[in-house]
Amino acid sequence: MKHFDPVNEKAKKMAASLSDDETLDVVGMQQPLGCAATFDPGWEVDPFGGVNNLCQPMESDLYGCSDPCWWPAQLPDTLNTYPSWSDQCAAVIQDWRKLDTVFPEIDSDR
Amino acid sequence: MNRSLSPLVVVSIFLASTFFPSLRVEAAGGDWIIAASHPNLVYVIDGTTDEIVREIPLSGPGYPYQIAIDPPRRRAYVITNKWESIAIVDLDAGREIGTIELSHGAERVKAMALAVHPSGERLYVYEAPTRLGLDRLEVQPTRLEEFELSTKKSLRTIMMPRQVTILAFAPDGGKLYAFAQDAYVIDLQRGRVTETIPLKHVGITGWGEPDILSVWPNDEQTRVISLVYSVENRIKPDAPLLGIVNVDLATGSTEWIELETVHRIMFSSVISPSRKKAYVVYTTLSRVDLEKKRLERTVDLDHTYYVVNISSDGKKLYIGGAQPDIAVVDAESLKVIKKIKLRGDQSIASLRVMTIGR
Repeated sequence: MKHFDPVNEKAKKMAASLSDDETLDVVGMQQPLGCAATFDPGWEVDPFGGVNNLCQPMESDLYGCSDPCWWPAQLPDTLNTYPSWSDQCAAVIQDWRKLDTVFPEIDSDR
Repeated sequence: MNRSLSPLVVVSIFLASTFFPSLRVEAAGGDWIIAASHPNLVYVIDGTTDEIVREIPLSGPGYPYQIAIDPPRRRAYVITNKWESIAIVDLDAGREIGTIELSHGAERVKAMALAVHPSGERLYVYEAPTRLGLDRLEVQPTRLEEFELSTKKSLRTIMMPRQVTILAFAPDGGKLYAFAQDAYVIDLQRGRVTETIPLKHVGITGWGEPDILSVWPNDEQTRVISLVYSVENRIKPDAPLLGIVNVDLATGSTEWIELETVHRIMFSSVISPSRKKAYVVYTTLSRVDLEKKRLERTVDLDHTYYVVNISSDGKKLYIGGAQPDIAVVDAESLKVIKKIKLRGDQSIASLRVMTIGR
């Protein structure tokens, strides 16, 4: 951070929040329900480095993890940003083909 | 339960049940199993026949999460609609009779847990608010909001520690427990947290800090919250431990029971009405002998289930969550005796057992 000069107000606030001898506390959240970073392996791998202990089949876990925003990076945020994402798919096992990918909206005026 | 009925009574019940389904359930006694699913549905399942007797659509976009039940008044309170409102459901009539909206103006409020006071007069909702600014989102302190159910008015808020995901009352309604990384006791008369029950910070010699998943309240039969934990084993680091911790809501006492070295995941646990057994579920279903404090029997399941609950007579388990089916399991043999099909995935919605007449 010492090599960067803050230019706008937000950057100045960020710089002011850190001092050279200040240590940031990073604590792994025990229960990261709700939109938050999680250190739980999640879908890609289970706690033992394999896939056997992921929910079986994987469709079982889709809403259980997307509903409370367990994987903010992998699935749309249906609690806030994409509340209608799963409207056409009440049961994932049967209707997973009705789930669409989502893309960030681009401001065409820029 | 021993039910000896005269032939005249049997005929009366048959005639009544034909025309008045709610009377059928009442006359037979027993349990109602309350479940919920995508898109925004609540179900009442007759615990005698294990058939769906009510399918109740809730207003709004969904999806339902935690359910609190009020057995004497046969009501359910359901967190739903992006977790920003509480649906009030009359289970007997089979319809939604009211809503409590939590978000107002620039404050967006997500409900993470709720509980109804045993008197049926007050509802308590644990809230995670965020203030929506023009160019930023500001996370606000978490709080408990108290509602008067006769008017749906907010009476007060109580500042609370973060990460609470289960609220549960002591049997006499005198204390409210909040389960987060540790558990907290809230004195509602004084309007503040007065006691901390260490869970993550239990400090057992040779252990790290237990990691506990508390999402599914299922204390109806025993008023004991049973939670699965896994913990670092500092004596033998290549053998982390898995077990259950039982918190007695009547006394606040805890009992830690070590089950096995972690080699599989377990999600939720329920205590039998006799308090002699516990049942733990995920992709396997296990029975725990609470007197000998060890695993007794484990069976494989056809798919992952998140939540386990138990009938009031202790003879049947209901395992649900995740997919759109609830498996009815014989508690002795651990064999699936029936599957109840719902219209959508349950996700992490609660699965409650309401005993009629209790």
